[in-house]
Amino acid sequence: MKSPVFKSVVSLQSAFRLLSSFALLLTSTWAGAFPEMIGRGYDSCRACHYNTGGGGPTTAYGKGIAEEISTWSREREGEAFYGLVDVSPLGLHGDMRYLAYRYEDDTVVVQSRFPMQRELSLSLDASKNISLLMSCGHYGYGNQAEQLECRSYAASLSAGPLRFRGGRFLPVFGINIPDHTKAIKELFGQGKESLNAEFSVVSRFFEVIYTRAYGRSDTRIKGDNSPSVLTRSDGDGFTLKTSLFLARGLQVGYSFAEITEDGGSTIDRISGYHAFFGTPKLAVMAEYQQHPLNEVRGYGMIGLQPLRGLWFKGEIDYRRALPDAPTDPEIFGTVQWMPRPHLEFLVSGSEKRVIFISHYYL
Amino acid sequence: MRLFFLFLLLGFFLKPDPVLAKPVGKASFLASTNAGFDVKGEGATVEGTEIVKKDGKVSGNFTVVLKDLKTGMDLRDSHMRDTLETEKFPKAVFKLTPTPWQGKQAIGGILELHGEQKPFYGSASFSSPTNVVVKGKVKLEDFGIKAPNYKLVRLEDIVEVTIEISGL
Repeated sequence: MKSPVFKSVVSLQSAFRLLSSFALLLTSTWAGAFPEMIGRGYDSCRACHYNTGGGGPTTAYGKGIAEEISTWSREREGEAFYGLVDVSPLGLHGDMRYLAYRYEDDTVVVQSRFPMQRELSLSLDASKNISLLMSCGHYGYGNQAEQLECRSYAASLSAGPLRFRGGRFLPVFGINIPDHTKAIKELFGQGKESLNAEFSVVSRFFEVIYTRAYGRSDTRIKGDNSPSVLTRSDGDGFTLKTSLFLARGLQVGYSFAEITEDGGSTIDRISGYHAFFGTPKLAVMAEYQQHPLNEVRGYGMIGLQPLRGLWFKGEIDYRRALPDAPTDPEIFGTVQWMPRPHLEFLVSGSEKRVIFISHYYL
Repeated sequence: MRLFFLFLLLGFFLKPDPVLAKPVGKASFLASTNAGFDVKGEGATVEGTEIVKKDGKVSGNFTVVLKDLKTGMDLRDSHMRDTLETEKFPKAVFKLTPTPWQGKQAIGGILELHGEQKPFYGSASFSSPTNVVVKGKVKLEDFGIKAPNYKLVRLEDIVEVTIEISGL
């Protein structure tokens, strides 16, 4: 017989689902990492995102310019509540992503569709130098039960180019592309948030971000009895990302990480090199990672934006487990369209898989 | 006939000030923000008028058409035009005091911007007697321009200006 406390929690979860879905219709910020913005002069993701490495909730400025990345928009449409209500210094953010995919090779066919993410975030810009952020929601794990989690929360203190951030979030490494299924994001993508203390400095010429990670803890809200997909002892170590801003839209960088995995029994040391070149209509990016035991992972992308908010991209994703193993890269053709602020559609296909994502973002 | 030779003789001795063809160029600016990125505006056309080259020095007026400036984003362009009030003050004019036209020089003059006239100092690099790159800094407050503040992102008050001119 279920306890009254459990029933209350289930009711709370149902209420949360309803509230998050309703709130998503009213409020808006863009919550996808968009390295292509480098081509518009935004060298550092900090310009638009609370997260120093990009992705996740956008600042008031990031919301304000969201109309610039959509095909059609009205003035202030990219802001929270479509600009109708000013709730500053509070900010309400979130993402609702629905994923449908099909994978087929010589031996297996897998297809599925599920709500990948239903997340709400609350921010507070206490002053021009202090901000707080918390994100909670339901996250789909494919065939596993959804988890109700508070994945990230952080407090930031800035002083000019310097920033300290503490909390739970993704450690910064390399280029933060939105697709966490790509090989380069496996270690530092969604679901790999850890408790961190982060120090960063951003100038006109470079960016240095150091993240001391203190492990990934269980973030499920108490009362959620579904099996945890998180291991407690992984994710301890540090990451360091450095980028040089060589010219407008051109940057190169190096990242290094030392992180425990496999229940704490393994220490992975990973080096990464990244480069980006972009203009408002063209984006070219690449990242190469050297993992233990001579494994390498890589990603490359070239994208064209013939119409504002509409991107055509070619991507290559590869992993080579051993020096003599075949690389077997997977090449994707991707169409990404943001017709209006708060809305994004993505279709991506390779020889083996097709992915469709609809994304309503706050 | 005597009058003809008299005028010819006068022509050798009375050399008028050489006023050259209208030079043209481009102007740009670079401004820092408190959010870790810079704003660069480019593409403003520049026209030179009343250019005088005399005794190894050049002077004249250089007019910058501010509405031509582009920052790479429509929203930023709109904010920039609002900040500079380009509808009311579509041009900036720099009056250059006589400056040697070779090598690297310190320059001075009067800058008229946003309806205000203030002294302007900078540097000029002459790659040839007809081509020059002028650099300097403008303090927006001096010209009655309030540094824009959009969604907690503030532009710094001091802006770096670059003017490239050819055909002096």
